[in-house]
Amino acid sequence: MFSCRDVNDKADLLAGHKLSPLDRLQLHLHLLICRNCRHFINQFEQTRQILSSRQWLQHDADAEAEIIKKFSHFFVKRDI
Amino acid sequence: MAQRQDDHLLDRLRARDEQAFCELVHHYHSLMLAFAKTFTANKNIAEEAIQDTWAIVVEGLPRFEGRSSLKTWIYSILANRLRSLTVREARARPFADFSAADGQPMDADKFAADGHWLNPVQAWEQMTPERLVSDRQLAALVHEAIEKLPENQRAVLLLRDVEGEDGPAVATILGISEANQRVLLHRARQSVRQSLSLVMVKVEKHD
Repeated sequence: MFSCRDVNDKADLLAGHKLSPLDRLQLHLHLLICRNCRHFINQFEQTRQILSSRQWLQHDADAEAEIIKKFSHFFVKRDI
Repeated sequence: MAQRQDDHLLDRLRARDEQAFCELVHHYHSLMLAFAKTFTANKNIAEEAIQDTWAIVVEGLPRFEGRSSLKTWIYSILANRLRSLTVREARARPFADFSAADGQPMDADKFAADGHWLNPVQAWEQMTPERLVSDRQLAALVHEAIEKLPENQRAVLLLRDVEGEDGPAVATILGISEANQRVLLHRARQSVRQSLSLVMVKVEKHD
């Protein structure tokens, strides 16, 4: 059965759905009995969720507007 | 941006829909700048590379065949422009050494010889959508945690976990092996996770 170290090493494969069925089973069996690893996997998933949310990303509206203006002649405004 | 959304956006871009271009810029521009900063500390070079990238993207849209995803295409162009510009600036080597992953076992210091955690792993509060949107302290912490990462880890994390690129595409964009990008990603995620623990750890209530 997996050790805690194995769970740590393979968490990214679990997240990417790249674990073999046997490894997935072994990992889940380990999670049934190991609170530390349950916490770790939860932290891992939440970290990914926070990162992918982009809420922390700082947008520069002026820079974006400048780019849009610079290339606007390639595009056409469409009526909604 | 999910693949289906990407495909729909691409159709609109090819139809020269200006609103589609606004959406494209809003989605990609800030992260492109963050990515560019992993190659160079020179803001002018970063911005020049991004401007060049947008020019290539806009002019290339009619001929883009979609063999790669839109985001892979955009970041590949940007990475190539950054490599060209940083070489031109006569640096001994690019600011970010993307080949550096030193072969150390991952997190060797966190585990006992038998594979158990050396220290307990604490429970986190469960993130809510409301908190995700409104918690400025959390947003600042994440931003700071990412900025503190070594450039190679930061580049991989931005592409994988923020932009949603897959491992092989990131390895190709950065010119590193898939094994290398996996190690870099793991280390980056660990660092960010440790920083987030400062605000996420569940506080035990004692009555």
